[in-house]
Amino acid sequence: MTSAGGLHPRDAKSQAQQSEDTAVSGESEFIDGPEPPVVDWAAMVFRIRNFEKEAMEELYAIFARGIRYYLCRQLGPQELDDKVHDTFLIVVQAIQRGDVREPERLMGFIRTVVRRQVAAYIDQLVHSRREELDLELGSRIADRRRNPEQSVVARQRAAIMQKVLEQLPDRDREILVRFYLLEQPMEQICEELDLTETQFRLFKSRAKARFGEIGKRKLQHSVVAFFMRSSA
Amino acid sequence: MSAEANERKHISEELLERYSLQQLSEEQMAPVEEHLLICSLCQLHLNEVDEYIGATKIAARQITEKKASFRQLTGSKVGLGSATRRPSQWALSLTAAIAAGTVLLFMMYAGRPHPAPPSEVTLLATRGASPATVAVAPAHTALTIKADAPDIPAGSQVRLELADSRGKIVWQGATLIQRRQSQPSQITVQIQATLDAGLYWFRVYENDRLGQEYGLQIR
Repeated sequence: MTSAGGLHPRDAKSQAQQSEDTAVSGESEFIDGPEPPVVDWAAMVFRIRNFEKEAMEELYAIFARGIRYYLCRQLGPQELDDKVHDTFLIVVQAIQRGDVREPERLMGFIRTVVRRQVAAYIDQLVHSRREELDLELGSRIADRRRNPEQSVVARQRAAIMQKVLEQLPDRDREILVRFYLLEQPMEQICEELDLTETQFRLFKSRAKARFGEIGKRKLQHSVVAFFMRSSA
Repeated sequence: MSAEANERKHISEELLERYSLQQLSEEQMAPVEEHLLICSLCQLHLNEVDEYIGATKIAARQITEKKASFRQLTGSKVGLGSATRRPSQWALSLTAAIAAGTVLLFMMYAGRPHPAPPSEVTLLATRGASPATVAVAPAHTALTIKADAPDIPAGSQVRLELADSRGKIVWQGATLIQRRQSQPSQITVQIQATLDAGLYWFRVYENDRLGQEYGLQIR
């Protein structure tokens, strides 16, 4: 893993290679790798409906991390344990009530519950801010600011990316600006800049590889500087 | 590909990027989110994709703003993608120094104190695991706030409000969304009310529906 400021896990070469392979073989949306757990969802639903404690523990072990991840990504880290617990409780109670009509699609059901929870928390947050208009009660605003360490890493990453963008020819830079900053879809960029999808993917993967290279170099410099300071 | 088969595979980087940029339809999003619920490898990978996109957004914005201010200073028309000669650094510095000197002389001879120019602050919306970037601006200064509004059509009228960390509305206004060439629609608004230090929330309402909310730290 390239760890320069938490950079991409795949090294520069493999990133480019992967992207080039994808470009050649066409868009592959799901790729092979170490497999996530294979679970018989219908059997699990059946066991939870029968109030089997082990089945609930298994369900928690499989989904707790994913639910936590999704909630944290959407809502931030505040009161995360409570939110995960609430969500899990809703899922288990729904299963026990027999609300899961397609047990083999349990993941889809859990996703729906988590999404509803996110929407409810956001709604609650907006309303509580409005209601606190003239109250001097404690603030309930979610603090989504980075901690100092995260801020430094984010600044470093942005500085590296700025260096990468500055070194790119104008046209290559425009592709990245359009895709990442202006969030234009690939099809539109390809049409307007007269690119094939393969060329588009190659431009992107090369920029990413360059980002990884500069990041790695920067990391090596800072490690050397650190040891020089330490030994002085 | 069936949902069961997708469970056993991992999400490609390209699909994760599109998910992070919210470019997937509901149909495309469902298998991705279901897989993310059970696959820690793809969760890690998505974090990295989010971070990469976040860094690229910030860097790309800085570069486009730098180019735009250079265009303003020199009056040149350098396109985003055009291959024109870059100005030498000394010429740019000299122009800036002359401009700054002229402003300073004017202020010295005007004989009365001038209010400080408004501070410009750009609000940046980011998505994903990285917390939203909270823009920082100085306290007790008029502000020119700029915020992207990519999802709101240019020409729309929007209602704006600024709330402090207790939810109290400290400023309200309205504006038209501006269209910009090769860039997302943008809101530009001047806030004359001077703000105390603290965390504020800048909200954009379209048809009385909250469309965007940005963090603003006043120091």
